[in-house]
Amino acid sequence: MRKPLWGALERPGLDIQGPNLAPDALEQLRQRLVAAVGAHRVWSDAEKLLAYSYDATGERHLPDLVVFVDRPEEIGTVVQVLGAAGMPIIGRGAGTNLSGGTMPIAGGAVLALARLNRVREVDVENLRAVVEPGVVNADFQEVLAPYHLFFAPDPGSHRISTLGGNVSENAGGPHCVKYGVTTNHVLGGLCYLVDGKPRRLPTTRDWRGSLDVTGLLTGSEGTLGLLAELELQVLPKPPRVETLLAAFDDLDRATEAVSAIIRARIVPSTLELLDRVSIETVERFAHAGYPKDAEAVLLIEVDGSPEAAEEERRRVEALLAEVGAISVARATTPTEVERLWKGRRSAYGAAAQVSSHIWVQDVTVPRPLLPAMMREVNQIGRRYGLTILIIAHAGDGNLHPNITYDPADPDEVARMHAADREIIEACVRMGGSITGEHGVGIDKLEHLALMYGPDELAVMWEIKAAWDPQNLLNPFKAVLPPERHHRARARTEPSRAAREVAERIEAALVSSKPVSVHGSEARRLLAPPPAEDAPFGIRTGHWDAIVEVDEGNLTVTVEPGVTARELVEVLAARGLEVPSLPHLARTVGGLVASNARHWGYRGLGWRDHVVMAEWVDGRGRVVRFGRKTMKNVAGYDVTKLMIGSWGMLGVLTELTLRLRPKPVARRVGRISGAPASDLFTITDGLRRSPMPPAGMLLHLEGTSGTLYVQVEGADWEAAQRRVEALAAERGLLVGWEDEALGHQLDEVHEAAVRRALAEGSYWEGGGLPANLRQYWSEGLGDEAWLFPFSGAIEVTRGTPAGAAWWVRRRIAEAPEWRRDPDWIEPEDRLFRVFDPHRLLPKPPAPDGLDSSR
Amino acid sequence: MAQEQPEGRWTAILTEINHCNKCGFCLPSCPTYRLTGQELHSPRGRIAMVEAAARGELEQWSALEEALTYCVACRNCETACPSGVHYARILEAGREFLRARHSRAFRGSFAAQQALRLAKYPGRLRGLVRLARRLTGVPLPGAWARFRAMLPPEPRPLPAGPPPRAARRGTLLWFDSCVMAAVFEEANRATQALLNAAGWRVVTVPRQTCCGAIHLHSGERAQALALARQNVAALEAAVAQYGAAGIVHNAGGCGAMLTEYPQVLAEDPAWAARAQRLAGLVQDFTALLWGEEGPLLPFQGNGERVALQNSCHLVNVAKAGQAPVRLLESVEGDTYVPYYGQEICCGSGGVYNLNHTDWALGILDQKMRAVATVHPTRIVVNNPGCHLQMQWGARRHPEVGAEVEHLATYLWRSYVRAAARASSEATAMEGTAAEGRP
Repeated sequence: MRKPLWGALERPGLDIQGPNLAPDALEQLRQRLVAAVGAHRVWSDAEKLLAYSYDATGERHLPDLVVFVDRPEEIGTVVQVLGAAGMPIIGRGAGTNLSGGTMPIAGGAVLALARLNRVREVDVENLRAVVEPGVVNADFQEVLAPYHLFFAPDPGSHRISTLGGNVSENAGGPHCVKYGVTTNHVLGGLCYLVDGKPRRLPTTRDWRGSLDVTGLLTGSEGTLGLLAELELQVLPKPPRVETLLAAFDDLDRATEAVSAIIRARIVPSTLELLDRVSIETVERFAHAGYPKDAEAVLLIEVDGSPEAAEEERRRVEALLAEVGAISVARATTPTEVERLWKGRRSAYGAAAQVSSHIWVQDVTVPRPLLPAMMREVNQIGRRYGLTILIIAHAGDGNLHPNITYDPADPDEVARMHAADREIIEACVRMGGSITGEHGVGIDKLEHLALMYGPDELAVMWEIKAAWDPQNLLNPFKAVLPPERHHRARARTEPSRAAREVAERIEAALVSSKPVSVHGSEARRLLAPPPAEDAPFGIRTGHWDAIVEVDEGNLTVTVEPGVTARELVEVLAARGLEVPSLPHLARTVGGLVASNARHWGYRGLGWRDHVVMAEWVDGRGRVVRFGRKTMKNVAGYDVTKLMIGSWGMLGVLTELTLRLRPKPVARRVGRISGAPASDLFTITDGLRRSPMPPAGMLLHLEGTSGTLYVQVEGADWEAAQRRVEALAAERGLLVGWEDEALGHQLDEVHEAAVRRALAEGSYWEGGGLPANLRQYWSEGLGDEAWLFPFSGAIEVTRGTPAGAAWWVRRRIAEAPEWRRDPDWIEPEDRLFRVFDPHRLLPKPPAPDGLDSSR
Repeated sequence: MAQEQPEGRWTAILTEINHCNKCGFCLPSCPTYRLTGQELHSPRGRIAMVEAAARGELEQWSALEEALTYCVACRNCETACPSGVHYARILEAGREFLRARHSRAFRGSFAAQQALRLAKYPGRLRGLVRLARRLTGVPLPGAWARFRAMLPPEPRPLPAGPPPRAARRGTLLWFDSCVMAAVFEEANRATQALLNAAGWRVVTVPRQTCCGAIHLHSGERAQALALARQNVAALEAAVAQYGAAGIVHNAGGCGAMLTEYPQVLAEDPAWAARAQRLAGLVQDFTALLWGEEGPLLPFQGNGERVALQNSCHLVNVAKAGQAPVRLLESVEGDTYVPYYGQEICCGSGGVYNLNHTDWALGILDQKMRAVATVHPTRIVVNNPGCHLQMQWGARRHPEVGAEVEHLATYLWRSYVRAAARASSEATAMEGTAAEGRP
């Protein structure tokens, strides 16, 4: 039994024995590793291993081995060798995480990936980059800078944390309020599951053919697979950023200012809040020049074209004056920007100087509850006699109460842990997530049961067991076997739809007969058909209530049968919208379940908008994953699996979607009857524009077609000018109309898809956006719809010549799905988690297509 | 159980270590971590190893020895640390612990030991350098042969400048770096000429000796203390004699050592107090060329792209790294080109490059790749060790195509150019005025 190291905490449920290989077995293993990667890259000397016993969390646990990986393909070999010996495998980048995610709590081999630090490709045409996992976030930004591109996630640790770590923890940062978290920027990559085979991750773009396993792996903390290469979305750098620092003599006024900005339909790129204790500490140690008498300060940034950013900044200034800020400072030079950021950036360090250690907590609550949560934290701090500094990503309800303590003072450590738990309990009571961006690691395993009921805990563990039955990949992190949770929260109260669906499925289970699910879904003809003898039909169309529109939080909760058109209208009346909703009679549940793309949104589709989902799986379990916050995940992001799962994993019974203010202006431009090659030139130029349009759709009929472009928001004029300039270069004119033209287009497109499906002449799929021209030149039938931002293709008439790109089609009578051979087995394992009795439909794989197995 | 270190010392070091939150912010600042990607060769890893020793978790010393051997001691991690951990104290405590256990790790290579000996005798060092420069075809003794590439080319003669102005600003004591005196005499002359031009009187301190920094970092503590005491005495006497306004130097590493004498001599309170009184007077020459409203002298460049390899100890220990940057930015007609990774050490580390040549070259190659991204025509330095190392870098990487030069000679040439232009403009003005006369 290994000697515990100083600093190891007692953690409920984590009294784990390491692998404890006999010395000669360990030596044999070492030799096999040496044969694979070379002697100097395998460490087994117990004292050298101490350097891999810690991360930024502050505990220490000794590994059995460290293996340094220099080439991505070595991961496979090393995983196979270690797996065969039953040795746990802990992937590690820079070791800067704050939840113990890289600590070898059960011993094992640390796979040091920091040396995999090459940026393989910056693909300006497709706004993507391919990197190795050990590339440091800040180094990556530096490589992108000459291209005027940036990678949106920039966690506080960006100067040292690796991209592999950022993806594994689903890192956040100060810009999430506008740009989302890391998972919103992962396109794909290469991964090794525990079998040591390399697998290309399925794309997260809106034409993917697989389950969103990339979304599942993102934020899975190295427990499901090891990332060997990442394909990341990069964005054009906004030409102008405006920075403000507003001070308030009252905390509530500061949070009121946050709400006022959101209500005014402004989406700032940064909205950070520091409380009085933080300001005092920052001023004492960093002298940032923040107003000392303030109860709170807000650091606010807006970005965009110079005109739009200035206009938004002026509007923010007016709102701040209205709410009653005591002072507003504006940066006009890079030095001043640096100065305004200095207090925020040095907050962690200043806190670290108050006392020898700080405990960095990370919780999220729905944004309107942020003031209440902050008051609660302050009360807890007073009760336990602790100094707590609060820094909040106020725009997304994510707060970091930083508790100062001295690890050498056992009483203070005990009070700190008690306070910590109360903070987490408060956050759960308010419907938040127990982690926003730091992950569960080992630190929050014991708190998972506060947030999830027994069924959710079971589902997450079953996913882990399905892909890693021996529990070798970063064991006892992020998820736990249910029996190790010593207290579980009561079952989640199911929605009315869930209660009914659960009854139907239980009945089906008793009789072992499959079920069929019917929404009013237009794409049903493309969906996997239910078994022919499915006597249990479940209709979802009549659950059509809009359960809650939370305007302050910018979320809407709906039943699955609500139609898109109704939801669009209800939201529009409040000045809000969901970006991917077409103006159609299709149900929201159907759109999400089939991951239906919409041309007006250039991001990654529904996975960017669904923050919480409830469903009933094939075992009759009602589960609810995600929360009413943008940083909505603790444990696995199971919600992602449901988006585009076509009813194969369960029946959706409730959805919560993220809203955004409806843009102040929206114009739809049309370039009609132009040569296709000219239109491709225009779309390629617009994709790379620093002020890209919101969406594009290219409708091609043979060699000519029509391009639709949507411009919107504060920057619509700049975007419109860019469209016109590019069109003029090809001698083409753009006709502009209001968004009714977009609605018309939705209907024409919808009709074409319905007809094609009915006639059995429909293909869909995609590829790299810049390759669309090539697919077209190879032949895309008589009528095709191309999505120049995502690279999606739909063919609605004729027969395409090229066959490389399609993932689903309906020709003649039946839908056909082309599954990625690498992922068939892992996907089938996931199907067994949710539907072991095969009551629900499964992918229709035509004969011959998966014969490569 | 603490291991055989004087109890009080370990307690003090554990208190220091306790401030390390292991956040990892030091990692990107560390040249050896950047080179190896290994925790053991990062500040955080080294602190962890010393912590393990202090907590009695080590049974042998090889891992601790490996961790502490390859640290360049650039102290960039101290600047990066949000918690203000005094890394150098922890490093020194660990190295002392190992020395007390007769570790041979810090004895230094033959070349390094020679260098330490020579440092005390600038005359001999100077002679050796002249010889080596002259006899480029003659093989040097084996231990020295590979270091010939560090040797700078024969210096360009300094142009004569305008006559210095009256010394209206006061008197400065010149502290001479031994390596500067031996290898970079013209940089010393340029520094003094610049200070004179700016209105300072400069007096060389009699009986000064090597600052002892390389001895201290090589574990020759007794030697270092002796040198420190000799310098404190010499400087005290000179301050008294000349009523000096400051002690000026042009070698960042040596200057930083002078400011650290109070800590170095801490075990001898009387000497420490004497050193403390002097420490506040020490300034890099660049700080003395900057007035309240900007540079004290005009500088005119020549269309060059100039990169800076700032002395790590000037930046991280003396905290005076901004003045060189401001001066470079003030040079009209040249472009100062900052680059990503600029603050990273070049791998010189006193005699580090003599002791751990392969590591030093690895760090140097990274440095040259980083500086190459901004396509400089000139790389300026302000410390003799860095000068030799960057010279080596320029030879190893001819593709960078940059000349290496001390900041002082570069500034002197720019000043002479500016002065010449001003006087020709003045002449032209007079001419115009003369022609205009009726």
